Amino acid sequence: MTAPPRTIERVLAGLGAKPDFRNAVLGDLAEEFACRVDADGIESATRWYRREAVRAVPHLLRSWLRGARLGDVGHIAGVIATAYIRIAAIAFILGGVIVGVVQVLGYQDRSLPWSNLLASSMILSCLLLFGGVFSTLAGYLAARLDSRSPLVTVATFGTLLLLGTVLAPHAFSIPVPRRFPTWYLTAVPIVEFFGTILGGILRVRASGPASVET
Amino acid sequence: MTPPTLGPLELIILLAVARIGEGAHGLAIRRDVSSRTKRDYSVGAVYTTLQRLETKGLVSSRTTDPLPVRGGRSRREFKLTASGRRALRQAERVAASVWAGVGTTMSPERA
Repeated sequence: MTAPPRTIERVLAGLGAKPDFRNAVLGDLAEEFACRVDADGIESATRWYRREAVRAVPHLLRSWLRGARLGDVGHIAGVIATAYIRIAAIAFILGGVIVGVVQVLGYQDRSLPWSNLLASSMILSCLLLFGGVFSTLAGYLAARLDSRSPLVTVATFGTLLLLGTVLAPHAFSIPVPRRFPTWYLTAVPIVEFFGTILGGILRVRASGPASVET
Repeated sequence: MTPPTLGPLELIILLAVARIGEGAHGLAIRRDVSSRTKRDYSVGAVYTTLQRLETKGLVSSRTTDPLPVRGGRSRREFKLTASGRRALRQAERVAASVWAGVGTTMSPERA
């Protein structure tokens, strides 16, 4: 018997649906997948599984929403706050170290080659990569802290990061440095959002089997 | 007591549960419904509807032992309750009533 694609199955399990509903849906998908592998081959069955997984997402999320209590909102907020504080602290320390090294090498922020398009693009790309890595770590940590509905928490986290990055400069009149081009300002929230989601998926993928009987 | 109102998919799935009888599980119900309606209903849609029918008291369910083919998960088997049977009879009466007299109008000779 061929098992369905592991990552997709665990992503579906990570959406926090009620255990009986989740097991019924994942069990049917697995059973039908095995039948289709025998009848049509693994490639066709995998394509079918992917399509059905996408169609199952709104129903699994609705099941989570119907079972959610006010305490769950507090739990998610707590997980997000904990993950954010831990990762922000690490990023702050590491960022400080990098700035220190750059200054020891004799560069000040103003002396960096911002007017050179290629050099500034490379610096900004490194900053984006830095942000992407830390968003991924934040998503991974948040998913690790929440075993109930890890991907709902991670999606909420990513959305909050995205909205915060886009809206905070306007809401709090934070001046955006003029050396940051539009492409960079556009890319930052997108990288943060997808980095967080990626981190959550990596965590869910690495966690235990999705066949939970409760 | 008046049976609860049934939506179109609820009625179709309730009829499938009645038709399959003993051991009606999600996969069999989905296959039955899809083959008769020629529509590809998603697994999630079928279970959401079954859950709603169970909440309304029209079907009851039990879980089987875990099965290897389902990745070690159980099957949920559904069966009609007395309320479910009443709801189907009521739906049949309503359908017959609203279709009454339409047959001749819809025939190809009159079109």
